[in-house]
Amino acid sequence: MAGGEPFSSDQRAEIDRAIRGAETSCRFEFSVYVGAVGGQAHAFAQRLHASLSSPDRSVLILVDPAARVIEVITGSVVRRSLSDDAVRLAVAGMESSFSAGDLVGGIKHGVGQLAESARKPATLHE
Amino acid sequence: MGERKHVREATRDRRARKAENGYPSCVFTHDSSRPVRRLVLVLSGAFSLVLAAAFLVPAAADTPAEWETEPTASALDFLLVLLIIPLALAAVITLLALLPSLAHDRGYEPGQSWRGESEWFGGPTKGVRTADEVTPEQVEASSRDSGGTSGRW
Repeated sequence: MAGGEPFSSDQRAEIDRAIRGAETSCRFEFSVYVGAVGGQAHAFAQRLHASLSSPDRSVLILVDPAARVIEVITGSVVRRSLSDDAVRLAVAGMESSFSAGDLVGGIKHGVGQLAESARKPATLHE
Repeated sequence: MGERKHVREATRDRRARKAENGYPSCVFTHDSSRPVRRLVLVLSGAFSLVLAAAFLVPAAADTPAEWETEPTASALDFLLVLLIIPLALAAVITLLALLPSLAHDRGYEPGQSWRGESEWFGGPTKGVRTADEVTPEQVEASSRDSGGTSGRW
C-alpha cells in the first residue's frame, strides 16, 4: 500500500470537522500537518507555523507517524490563553492514542482538548 | 355560571347540556349524538351479513367428479426452484453485502505503518510549498513569544 492517499475521505472529513469545531469554540486558527518531516521536526514546524496566514493566532500541530514525533506550536496571542502546560497535557493524550495505534482519534482528541483549554478565559486575579 | 364554566373546562366539552334528570343544576351529560350511533348500527349489521354469506357459500359447492390431475414437474423445474433460484439469491445478497466494504477506501488504519504522503489540514492553499518560501525573518517574527511543546511516542 505504498503511496496513494494516506487518509480516507471519511477520516479527512473527521479531522476537518474537529478542526472547524475547535476554531469555532475558541476563535483561534488550528492547522494539523501529518507526514514525514525528516530530522529537524521543530524547525520544520516553526516554518510551517510562520507560513500560516496569521501565525500569532494559530496553533500548529505536527505529527510525523513514521518518526513518532509530535510538535505543537502556539502563536504569541494564543499562548496567552493556552499555556504550555495545557499543551503538554494535550500532547500526552495524543501520545497515548498514537501509541495505541489510533492516529485519527488521537488527532481529533488532541485538537479538541487544545481548543477546550484555549477557550477558558484568563483569570484576572492571580 | 362560574361552576358551569368549570365543569366544561374539566370535561373539555363545548356542547355540555343540562341533563333532564330533575337535579337542581350543574349535572351535564355527554351522550353521543344520534346520527353517529345510527351509522355504527348500520355498519355492524352490514358486516354481520357479509360474514354469514362467507360461511354459507362453501357448503353449496358440488362434490368433485374425479381426482385432480397433478401438474408434472420435470427435473429441470425441480432443480430450478429448489437449487438454482435459492443459490442465485444467496449469491446476490452476499455480493450486495460485500460491495460497500470492497469499494470503500479504508485509509489509514490503526497499527499500519505510515504510507508516506504528507497531508496538511487547515494549512495554506498552496500547501507545504508555502513553507519553503518562508524567510528566516518571518520565522523569527512568528516564533517570538510563541509557545508549544514537542513529544515522542
